[in-house]
Amino acid sequence: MTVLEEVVRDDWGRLLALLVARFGRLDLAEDALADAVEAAARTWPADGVPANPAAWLLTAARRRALDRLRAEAVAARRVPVLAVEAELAQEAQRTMADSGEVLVDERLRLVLLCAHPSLSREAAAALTLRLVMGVTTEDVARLFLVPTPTMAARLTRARKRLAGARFELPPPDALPGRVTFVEDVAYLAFTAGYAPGSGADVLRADVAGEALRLVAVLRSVLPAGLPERDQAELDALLALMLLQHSRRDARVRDGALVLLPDQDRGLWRHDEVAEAVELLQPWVHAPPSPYLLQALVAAEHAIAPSPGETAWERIVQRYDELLDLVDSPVVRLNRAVAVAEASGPQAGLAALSGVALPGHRLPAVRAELLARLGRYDEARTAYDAALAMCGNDAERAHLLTRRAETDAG
Amino acid sequence: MTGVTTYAVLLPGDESVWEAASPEERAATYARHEEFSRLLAERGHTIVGGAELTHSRTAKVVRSNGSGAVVSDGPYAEAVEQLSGFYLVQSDDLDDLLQLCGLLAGDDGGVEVRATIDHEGDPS
Repeated sequence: MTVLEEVVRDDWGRLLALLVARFGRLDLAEDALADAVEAAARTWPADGVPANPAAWLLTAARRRALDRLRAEAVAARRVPVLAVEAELAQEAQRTMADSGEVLVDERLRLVLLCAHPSLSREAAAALTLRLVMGVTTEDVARLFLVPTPTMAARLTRARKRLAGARFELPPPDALPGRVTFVEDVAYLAFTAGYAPGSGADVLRADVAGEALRLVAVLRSVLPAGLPERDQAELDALLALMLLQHSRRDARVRDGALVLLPDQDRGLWRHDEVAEAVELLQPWVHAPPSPYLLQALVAAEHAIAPSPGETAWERIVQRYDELLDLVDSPVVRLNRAVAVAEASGPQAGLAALSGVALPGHRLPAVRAELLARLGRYDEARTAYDAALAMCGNDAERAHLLTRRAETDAG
Repeated sequence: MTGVTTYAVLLPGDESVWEAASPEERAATYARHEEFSRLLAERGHTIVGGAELTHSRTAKVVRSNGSGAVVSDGPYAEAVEQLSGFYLVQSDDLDDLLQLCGLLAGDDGGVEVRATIDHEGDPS
């Protein structure tokens, strides 16, 4: 990674937040910063990297924004402006005058602006990745499996929707609600990278990693004193993402999807597992909440030395608690898988009865359990049902392999 | 390929029946869809698209009032039966497809099959 790539990765959101605070306009701030990065890519290789790269970018972006404002004043264009308190704008200006030695961190405002309740979760997720994390439009498009021009148009609509929104911190009692929305948006972006949609792309883990980093940033810029349950959920979400992300190298072998029991556990990132377990430690006996329970399930897998040593009874128990909080067909399906591991395929099948879920996952699980019971004809029928509804190449290949094995059995 | 047509398999239904259905009844319905999908694949038809739709009360209708587009809430037409989902199926055997669609016809509604028009061969 070049110095410039590193600065963009680490400081994009911080710099953009400052520019938004100073100029009150997302479009202007974003264009100016993009121009500054482009200028840096042109000049740094020849002139050498400046002593303070982030400050260099900020100064270049500020000049560029001022130039644009002058040009616009001539054109007398009216542009919607974000509501920024005068004090904040002044502070941002002061920071820039200090040549950016000390960067005040306004990223929380930026996060809350992008993950704005007036946007759909999908639009908010895309915009947050683009503006706070500096992920390119092309990569955001790849993550959500849409063509780049489609994503560019979606981002433009989202930005327009935010014109006139407030670049501010909500009152303390409203903050947890807004944080919950950011969490949902981040997790949506994260799972988009791991849930194979249609087509040949097995996973887009690198971009999903940016959603993980977003939660880490959110955690670092939030003021202390979040209510305990909200703090637990935030820590648990970060842990959940770390645990899932830690398996990225083991999830694919020769282009094919490798499911949890068959993964080479030596390929898991054990430093990330350790970090997640540490995050969860204080909350193990906390009152149950959705992300916490999911993270605790993921942790059970992570700490099991081998698939056979997984504490399935404890996992079933966690799913029972989760069902009490959120009764959804997906939770029931996952619980049935755990029941099958803890008490055998017959019990798993029983747990599946009454689960209503369209798509290929339900018949795929049923097929697997039927095959384990030696009911091969029924298993093949269920595999065929799953195959007929599965649009992802990697998962199809897996189902076809399993189906062929029932022929041999 | 000649003779292959893409059909829209439309699933109108009484939404109140679906809303009142028990988890077991819903599971049974999805099971019929699994069976439908499986048999289509087995008999050489290809599902190329489709979706289950949200309740028609969440629908938006866009109409032109002469000076511009107006968005209103609710379905296009007030009716007991509303479109609840659809499949797009490529098939070269409409009779067989219709027979399989019988699986999806139930107390809450029938199935409407319409061939789509392929403009590929139109003179340009």
